[in-house]
Amino acid sequence: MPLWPLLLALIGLTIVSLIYLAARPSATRGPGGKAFAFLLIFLAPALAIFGGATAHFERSKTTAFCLSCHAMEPYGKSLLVDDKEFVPAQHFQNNRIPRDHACYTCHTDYALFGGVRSKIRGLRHMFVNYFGSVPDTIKLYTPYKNRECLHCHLGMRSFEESSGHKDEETPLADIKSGKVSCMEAGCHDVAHNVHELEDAQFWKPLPTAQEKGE
Amino acid sequence: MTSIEGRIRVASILVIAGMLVELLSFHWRSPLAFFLFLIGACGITLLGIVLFLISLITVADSPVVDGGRDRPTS
Repeated sequence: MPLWPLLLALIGLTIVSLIYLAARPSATRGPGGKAFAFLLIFLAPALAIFGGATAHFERSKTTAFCLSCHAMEPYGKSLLVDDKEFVPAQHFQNNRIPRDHACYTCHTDYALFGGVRSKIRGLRHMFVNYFGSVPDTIKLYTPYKNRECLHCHLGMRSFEESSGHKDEETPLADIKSGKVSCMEAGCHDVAHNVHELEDAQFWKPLPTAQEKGE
Repeated sequence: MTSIEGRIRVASILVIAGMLVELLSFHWRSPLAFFLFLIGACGITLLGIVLFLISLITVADSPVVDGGRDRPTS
């Protein structure tokens, strides 16, 4: 069930009821009065805040949200590089990842995504974006984990049967266990490489039917 | 109006303000909207909720001077 209509209805109903309560606080007299006030001033707002936090976290998973920070613009640009060596670009352009959730799909434990520690880091990123200075090169906190690749590729025939994934140097078991890194073992090591985009060619996606206004 | 009703009115107004700020944060398409939600909406709403809960515990349901209106008759 979609969250937005329910959340907006809850907030609207709470506001209207609270306006009544603020205008006539004497309505809380009587046996059910305090329970009525408790429902409107405690339960409904608590639920609305919980729903609002969920909605904001969901929004933070969208590509548009990530790219709305100036520092992330080159990373968004790198998704359109016309070069098969660029792993994120190939995934983005060929719909191997959902385009509207592109960042989150491959970085599930970065910034506002992931656990509490990641979310605190994400808040720090937003603070630095507006009130601090963004470093020239943005680095991940930890080396890129194979988990991010394997949550899609694991069990995929083309992945499991690929000659590069089962030779003696890179046995599949080592890839699955993370002993051999997908990105850092020299196999798929061209990621966003934002400092190499100056001379790159870029893919221009055809406008969708929606963009054409059909 | 009793003093607890006065506090319920203030708490209601605070929660209304918090809900309005929350709606504003949904409308605003900026990463700062999250800060607005966290600090503005959550902060103001929490203040209203805490005021309400404290008033339930501490304030006796006694009449206050309010121009004589709603004063209980003996």
